[in-house]
Amino acid sequence: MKRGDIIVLIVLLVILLAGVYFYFFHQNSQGTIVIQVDGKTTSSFPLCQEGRDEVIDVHGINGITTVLLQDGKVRVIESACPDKICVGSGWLRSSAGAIVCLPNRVVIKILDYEDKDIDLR
Amino acid sequence: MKDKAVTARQLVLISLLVTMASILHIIEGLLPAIPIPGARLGLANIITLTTIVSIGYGEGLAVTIGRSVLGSLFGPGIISIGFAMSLVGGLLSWAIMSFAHKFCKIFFSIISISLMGSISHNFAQLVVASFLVEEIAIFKLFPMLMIFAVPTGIMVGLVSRYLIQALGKIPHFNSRS
Repeated sequence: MKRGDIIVLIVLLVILLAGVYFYFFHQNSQGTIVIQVDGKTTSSFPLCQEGRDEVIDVHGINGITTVLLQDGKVRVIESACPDKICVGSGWLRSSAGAIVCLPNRVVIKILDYEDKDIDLR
Repeated sequence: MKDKAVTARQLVLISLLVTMASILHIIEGLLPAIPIPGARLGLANIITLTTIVSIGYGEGLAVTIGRSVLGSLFGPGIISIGFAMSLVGGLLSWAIMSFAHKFCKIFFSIISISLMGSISHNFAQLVVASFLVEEIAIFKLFPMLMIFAVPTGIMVGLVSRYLIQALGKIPHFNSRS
């Protein structure tokens, strides 16, 4: 244990606390689900809509990514990619995080407010 | 490198290290994917870090590039996302680890240097991913990646420390000291 290690530990701890804050105290019900293919927004939906159980097909670069939309959450259930990282990502519930399918160039993210995509960029 | 010309011994040494790193790279690719883009165990980083610490910076660069090219040839192919990610990530983590070792050797232990390497590797991979999908929101995954990067970085650092100790007993290996 050298002196620099303590600095590294402190920096890591700060980042960890920031991450915990980011993930657990950043909930919002007034969001917008935005689905992008290759950097272009193809569709967007309100985050919360009671009793919704909608399956939509997103046309990515390599094929179709099937997205399941429910009340307050979204996930990928099937995708035409080799590694299935997007399927393994599970549910996305808040603006903290994103679901990314790199081979298919599909990004699913949640904006905190309604349709402020242009402002955020 | 002390001499200008690459000696046969150095060539053999670099080849051995590239081979070991490539094999670790391929084995890592066979493991089930962690559901975050860019998250890997970083086993090949053990060899890069060991090379930087016990042989030299130039050799470390050679090992990094060699294992990215070879590991991708045996895995997803040379024109692939995996190759771009591992090459850019490897180069950034090589640069950070070499810098930390060259200028702050007394200040940082091997485990800290390895942590910096694994975090910068993940950061570079997110940069590549965000360029690919043209979306900056990917960086929201960085805290999540850190949860994987910190334990694997510590593990890689520990393994490298014991490896460097053991290899230091072999004559001609430890050319730095």
